[in-house]
Amino acid sequence: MRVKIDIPGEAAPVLPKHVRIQRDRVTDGTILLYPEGALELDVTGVAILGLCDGIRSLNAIVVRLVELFDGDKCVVEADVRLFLSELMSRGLLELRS
Amino acid sequence: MTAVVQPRPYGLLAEFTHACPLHCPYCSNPLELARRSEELPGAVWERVMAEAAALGVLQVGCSGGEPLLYRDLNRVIRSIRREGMYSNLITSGVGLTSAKARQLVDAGLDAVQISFQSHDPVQADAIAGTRAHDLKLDACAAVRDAGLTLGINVVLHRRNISSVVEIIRLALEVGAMRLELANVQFAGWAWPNRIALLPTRAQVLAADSAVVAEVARMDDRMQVVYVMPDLYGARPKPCLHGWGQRGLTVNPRGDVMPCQAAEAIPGMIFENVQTRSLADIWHQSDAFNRFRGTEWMQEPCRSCPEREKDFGGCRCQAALWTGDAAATDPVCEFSNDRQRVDAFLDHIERGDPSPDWIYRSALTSASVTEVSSSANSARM
Repeated sequence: MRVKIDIPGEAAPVLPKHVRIQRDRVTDGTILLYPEGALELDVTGVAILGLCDGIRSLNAIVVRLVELFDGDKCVVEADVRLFLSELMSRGLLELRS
Repeated sequence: MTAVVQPRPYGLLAEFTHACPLHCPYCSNPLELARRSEELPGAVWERVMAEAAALGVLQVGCSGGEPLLYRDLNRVIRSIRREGMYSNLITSGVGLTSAKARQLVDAGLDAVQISFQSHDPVQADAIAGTRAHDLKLDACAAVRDAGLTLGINVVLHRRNISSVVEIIRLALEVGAMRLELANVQFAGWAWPNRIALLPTRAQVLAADSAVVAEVARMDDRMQVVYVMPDLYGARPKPCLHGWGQRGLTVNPRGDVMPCQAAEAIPGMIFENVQTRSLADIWHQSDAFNRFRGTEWMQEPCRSCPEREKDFGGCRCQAALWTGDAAATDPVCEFSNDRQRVDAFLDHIERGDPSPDWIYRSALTSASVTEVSSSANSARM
């Protein structure tokens, strides 16, 4: 990762066409597939990406996750931002406005 | 009973054909190419893909030769998608028209990687031994128009490494999301051309810092992967992350190998997908177990604290330089054969500054010997 990317709260993240979510047949976990690589997603990652439809804003995703997991808004927002900016720096996330 | 953690192949390199329109002097395919008539039918590849997915393979590199020359390519790509694996077409770009790109998208192809030889059309065609550069530019446009993600790979060697910055800019211009700059590895056809291919130390040092500086100036639009030339290092590369640990290669005849260059190792017997299942070959075959783990190692690897990090380096490189595939990779500063590498590097510094190379041809090994002895006449 080169630069920490600051995602605007109004931007709507979505996986680009070349990134696929797939069930792992060996571990039964969830993985992200992209050219020459794969990432194993944990439960939080799966929940976040499940809400990244290119329509919901980052702010709305945070609100929804706080409801779903009864979490602290500041903690959830920091988690979501860290996860999504990591994906962006690898070219695995697009933002729509 | 204790559970033994079995290694799992994450990647499959599928070499559908050895036929190729290019004649690159560093071709990684073996000296003895598979004939067109020996290529596996699509139905066999479909079964291989099902078996690969069940073993845990996530990524399939659809390669060759030139995979677009393989008649059942669309059918096999459909089966890769059906099995939930990710497919990447590794192509010269020759033959990748807009119509072909659309067909591949319909079949479920995920990504395309096109090779370039240089940023400069004249130099690029001189390296490929044929006019291909402009066709590659057209292929990039076809890939973009079809909505596929594009990667570029460039093998770096003596005649193009000094243009590495221009090469990075070309990759940006054609809309690549990923650029692989790999210094030439001396397997296959590259081995007899090693004197003409290895860059000088000064070239390598200049390229290393040029790549770092250029990447620092770029935004996140394109990922750059830079593979250093290991001969100039003091420690070997962790080749394949260990033999038979993470990936496998199936060649056009259906032989299954731990590495695409493994045919260079004398005495290896590779099992074939037409007679044994992929799982059986992966877990049980002699070829895959031969250099698994650390038991096979000799000194200085055997007692070396680095043995679990670099796995003794590259088995093919050990075989080519020392004649013993179980020897320590001769790149290693602790190898008894390091002086062979140093003598070669010395020759690169002091020998002919621009030696000729021999272009890759589809000749059988018998004719190859004949061509090798008359390098100048084979120059195009």
